Amino acid sequence: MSNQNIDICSDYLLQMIGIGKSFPGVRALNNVNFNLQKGEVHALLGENGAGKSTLMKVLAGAYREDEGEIYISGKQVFLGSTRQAQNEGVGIVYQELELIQKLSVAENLFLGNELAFHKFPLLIKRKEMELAASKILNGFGLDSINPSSLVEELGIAEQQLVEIAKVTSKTHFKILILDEPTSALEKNEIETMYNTINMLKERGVGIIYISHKLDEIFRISDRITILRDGNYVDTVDTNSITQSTLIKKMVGRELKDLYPKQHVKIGPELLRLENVSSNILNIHNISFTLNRGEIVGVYGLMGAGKTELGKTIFGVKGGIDKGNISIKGKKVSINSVQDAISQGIGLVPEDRRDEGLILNMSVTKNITISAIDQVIKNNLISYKRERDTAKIYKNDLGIVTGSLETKVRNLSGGNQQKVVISRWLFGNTEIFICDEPTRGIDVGAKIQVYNLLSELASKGVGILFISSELPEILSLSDKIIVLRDGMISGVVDGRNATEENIVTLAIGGNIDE
Amino acid sequence: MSSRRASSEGVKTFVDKLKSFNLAKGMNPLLALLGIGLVVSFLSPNFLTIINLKNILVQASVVAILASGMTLVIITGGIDLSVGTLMAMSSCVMGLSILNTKLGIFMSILIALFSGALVGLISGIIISKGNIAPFVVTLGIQGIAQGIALLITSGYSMYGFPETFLFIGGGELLGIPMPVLIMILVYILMYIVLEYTKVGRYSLAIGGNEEASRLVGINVDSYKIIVYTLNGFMAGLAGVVLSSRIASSHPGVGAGFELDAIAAVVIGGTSLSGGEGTIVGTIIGAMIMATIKNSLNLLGVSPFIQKIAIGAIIIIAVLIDSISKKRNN
Repeated sequence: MSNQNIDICSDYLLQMIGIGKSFPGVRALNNVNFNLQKGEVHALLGENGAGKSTLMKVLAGAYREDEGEIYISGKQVFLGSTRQAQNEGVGIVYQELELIQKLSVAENLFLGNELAFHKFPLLIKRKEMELAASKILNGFGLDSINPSSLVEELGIAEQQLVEIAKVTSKTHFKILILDEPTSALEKNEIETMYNTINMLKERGVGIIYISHKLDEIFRISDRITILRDGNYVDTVDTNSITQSTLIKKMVGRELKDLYPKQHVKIGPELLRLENVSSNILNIHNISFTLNRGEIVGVYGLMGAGKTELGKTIFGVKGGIDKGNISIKGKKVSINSVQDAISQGIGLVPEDRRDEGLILNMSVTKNITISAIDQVIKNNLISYKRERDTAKIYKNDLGIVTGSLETKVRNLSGGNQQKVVISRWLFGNTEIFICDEPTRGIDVGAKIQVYNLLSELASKGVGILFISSELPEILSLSDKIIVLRDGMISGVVDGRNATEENIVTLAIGGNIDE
Repeated sequence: MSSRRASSEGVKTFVDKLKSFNLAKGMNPLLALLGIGLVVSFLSPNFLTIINLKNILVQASVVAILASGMTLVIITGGIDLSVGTLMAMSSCVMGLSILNTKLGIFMSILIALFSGALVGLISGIIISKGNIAPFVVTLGIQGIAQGIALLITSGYSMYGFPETFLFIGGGELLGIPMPVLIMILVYILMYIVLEYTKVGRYSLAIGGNEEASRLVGINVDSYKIIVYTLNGFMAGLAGVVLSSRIASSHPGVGAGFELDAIAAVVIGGTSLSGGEGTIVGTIIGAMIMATIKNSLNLLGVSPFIQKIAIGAIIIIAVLIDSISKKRNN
């Protein structure tokens, strides 16, 4: 085993050795190594789904690793729960802050560790807590924050610093995990964040820094560890590597021909967007066309606006604020989901269980729900027509289910996805917006979904294929739209696309000529 | 041991078979109703008589009519606390119209039904367009409807309705009491609405997953409004039937009936979290409540203890439901 060459050494604050973690149908982490020194900022880098957050959740005690060992200060530890991880000195600050808005700063800082009277442990020493809180805040240069003010009265940046103060003020604190800490911050607030990080460094805290922003990583980190598809790639010193080598390491995988795209003759135009903007969904100046038989990929990092683009076209938050949408060459106005559906658009949403399916309804009813008028005879729903309809799609798409009356809740992810697609096929949809259609389903089912999408395209349907998985987007798409901050940062022809140039566009670098 | 297991498996397959019929979705409540009936018929010789059974049906009818609309509301994931005072309001509107105008009985009843429906419509609009919790909106409407009833009657009761009107609550047709006949018609109608129309199907979808319902193109707001309007209409109808039965209209008619209706729905197996429920279950739920009240009366149990018993039964019904769900998952 390669693990044996790694010395367990108390010089390291943290060593994670040979970490493996599987979820049903997914190998999320495979033999991953990671280490951290005192007073170091160690960036963790990788695409969406590379395993960064899984690894950090293992460290924070939120997930239990299947294989591997974790050492803190040279001592092997077992982090079975977040509580245990905290006791070992690990703290994590998530993107979504975990402060309770309606409680005061002091109450948040001591949440779960309230200072109470010895004899009456249910009585809280409010004054002492506030005093102690202001001491902690002073330590972070946050003198301006009143410990008795409510968290909701603070700005996002201040809240984040309070959360960091809360996490790091625990006794024996050693390791801080920051997950995209600057994503919600303004420029000057980012500087304050850097100052805080530097101060913690000087105190000897080890910091693991997760970010997609390369310029930040180069500015703040000492070393970088790169993950890809759940595997460990490399650990490098930040000042000995260039941006382009780093991107290569991030994406540099062999593209296996897992997803054969059928060659489909591209037909006439179906959908055209011209300078489309939606303020509420933070989508700006989007223009592209989707033709019959075409699969247009949409790629971007988290928060780039992929899902929001789909929802804009589908009329989820009402009409667009600017621009034009045309369907088959005719300008249309889409102000609601009903409008979009009547124009032949269907959405296969990212979150199947919360947005796509009515889980407690049968397979049949989920298939017919959107075009129920087609099974209504003499003003009443015909159960026979419904069953006949469902049978057709069950056979055509190969939906595996006990019976058509089975609740859709009980189907596997891949089969649930087929139910959603059947629904739109029954509604004579011609424009499919598929948002992460393979998320959370196993590899075999993924390939079935790919084949299904190719087949739909070959029948003259147009597909907007939103995905954060590069291999599938590269192999299926005729054309790839790359989004960043709700805008198109580049459109790449499917044949010329490489992972490097797409990621570069997504991150905001320039494609080197 | 083994024979007991065999017989319980036999019952299970029997139940499974019954479950494959749409009508028999409310199996558990039906078994409970039959069980209660069986026990009481041994305890009291007066239970299993035509007169007493008719009596139970009549007692159940008003709550059942009210609960039919409530079933749909609860299936969408909502609740309506205003139906009790809405009964009072409709009853008073009708009483005033019969006694003080020349509109006649038929028109007066129609006005009562539509006043109920109108208030339901208003609740539905506020709930869906204002995006406010149904509990809060209908709690407010509860007070408003009560206030209107008091205002238009100055708090007095009205008596002396013509004989033709009293037929609705007290008459019989082909040996069937009119309230029971009305209840049966309502349930046939509501069964069709729930199982065979868009209103029913979409209500199940909305209660099951509101966001997904929007994304498959259901106009969620409109269908919620329809459901609350229908519920208000049923409250009006329940008010009319009850007024006729007691031969008076007053602002106190229907007090507390909203809770009986909700209890009937819940005992009938409809999930308070929405998305699941049957109309057949609800009528059985209403029967169970009436049967228990009737049985305790026959057995000479104090009415105070009856209240405790009914309360306990509501909790037990929901408990059984939640346990069987846990097992299924």
